[in-house]
Amino acid sequence: MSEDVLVTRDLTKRYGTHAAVDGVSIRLRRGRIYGLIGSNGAGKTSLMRLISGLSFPTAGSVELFGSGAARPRQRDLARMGILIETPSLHGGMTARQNIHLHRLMRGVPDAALDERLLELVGLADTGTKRVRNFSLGMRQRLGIALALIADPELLVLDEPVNGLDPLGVVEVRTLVRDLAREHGITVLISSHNLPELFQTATDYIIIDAGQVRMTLTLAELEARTQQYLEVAAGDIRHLVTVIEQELPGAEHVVMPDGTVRLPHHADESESVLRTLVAADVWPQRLAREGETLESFFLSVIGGDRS
Amino acid sequence: MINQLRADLFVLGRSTTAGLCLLAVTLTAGLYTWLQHSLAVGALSANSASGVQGLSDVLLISLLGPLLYGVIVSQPFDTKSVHNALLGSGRGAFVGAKTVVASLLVATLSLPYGIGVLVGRATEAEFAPAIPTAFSLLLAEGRGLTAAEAGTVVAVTLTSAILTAAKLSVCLPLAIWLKRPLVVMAIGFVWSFVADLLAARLSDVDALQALVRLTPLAAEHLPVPGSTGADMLTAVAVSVVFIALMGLASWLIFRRSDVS
Repeated sequence: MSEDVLVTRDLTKRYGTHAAVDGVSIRLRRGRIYGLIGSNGAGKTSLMRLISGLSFPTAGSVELFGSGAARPRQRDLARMGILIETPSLHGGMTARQNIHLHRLMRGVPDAALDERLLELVGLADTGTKRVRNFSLGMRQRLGIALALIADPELLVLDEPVNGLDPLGVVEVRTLVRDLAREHGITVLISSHNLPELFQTATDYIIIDAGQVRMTLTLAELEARTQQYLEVAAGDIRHLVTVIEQELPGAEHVVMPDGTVRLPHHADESESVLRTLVAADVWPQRLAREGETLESFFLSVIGGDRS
Repeated sequence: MINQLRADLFVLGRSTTAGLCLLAVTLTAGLYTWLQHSLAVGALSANSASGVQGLSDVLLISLLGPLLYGVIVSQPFDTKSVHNALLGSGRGAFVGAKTVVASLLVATLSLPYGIGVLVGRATEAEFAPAIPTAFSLLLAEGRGLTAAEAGTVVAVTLTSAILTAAKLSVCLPLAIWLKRPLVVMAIGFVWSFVADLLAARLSDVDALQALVRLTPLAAEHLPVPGSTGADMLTAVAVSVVFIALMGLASWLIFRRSDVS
């Protein structure tokens, strides 16, 4: 079984002269959660539509499940679940009827699945309430249930936490993680909510103006956005000695510019200052530094604009 | 395609639009039958016949048929259920199921008029045709109903139903292309009248006469009380092939079009 669930090569979608997706080459591996990060209009939804076979590329290829084909084949698409833009719901039907309908469409005979999915997304007690009377969060949850009907191996979720209350966000996050960890499902999840994706995904794809600006793992993202305490002093040797003696076990990095970074003391500036002063080290500078998620994201997508 | 068909029938069973259209046709067919009796017994003046014509199958199905084609094809795009449909069955199955379900539903619109004829004839009452459609002619053809006559009514009703569905099936590719039921309804309504005129004109040209005969638009396919079984079978065959061709045209439009 191929570990590559999805491979796109130079995938491009143009509308006239505007490129909604521009030469995107990505590779998604089994059982991982990929966060697709981009501002509004960056090309997230267009990319997801191309992957799901809802639209056709102007150039490039989409290979699903190591098929070797340049276009998604029907039997490969049948192994996917999608929630793109808005959930596929019939407002005049109940949640149970909606699930039943989509189960018929996907050819899933297991009638008990209706109840299991409703339980899973917390809508089992909606009874005869029609979907048109659901809150936005309830609709989103039902949309996720519909995406899970055919036991997908690749789940594509476009802004799935839109409209969810904080509890709903946590539930979706837990659900997505469980699906990846316990069932080996690969998830491609888009959002412009960076902190939310930071807590959910294992890998990140940053997209802007239809182009992939950067791909990185959670560990790489954490390293890039780590906060640290930066200390500068006149006598760098003495400063390092004091840190090693008075802050035992404290990880520290001496930078080429003569400053010292304390990655695990970003929130302890007061106690560090007190320790240093007590050891007769008077810092010229002591400040919390490092990129936040937002500033990192802006630096990635803003690079070409400047 | 079976999965998609089952799903479409599930939706159809809960469709308010389809239910209201069938209810409207049933009530109108009943009223139409009763008014033709009123015309025959003089309870309504001959001048009122033109008003009664407005309730005929020709007008009502020309209006509601395109609407149903539009709604059935467009609804999955509105609800986005087309996303799961395409993942599950693909574009060919999606169009195929829509073609079958929409055509059958539009054909169903004619049935209340046929039932009206059966009931009317069974009452042995007198009827005067407000407009010379197949149903009105059958209704006014005589009093009482033998088994053979009932069979003729059923055969003419089914033939007329399939023929009408075929004539309006040009709305299928239109609906796939436009995805706006009301626009499809407007175009389909105009088409249903223009098509007859067009077919009549084209039939006057010797070279095109044979071609028109291969479509449900040809006047010779319209079932009448005197139509033979062979005539009606030919009309049904032409209609089924025409609907299949419209389904094919719809697929050609949809197979490479983007879905939002």
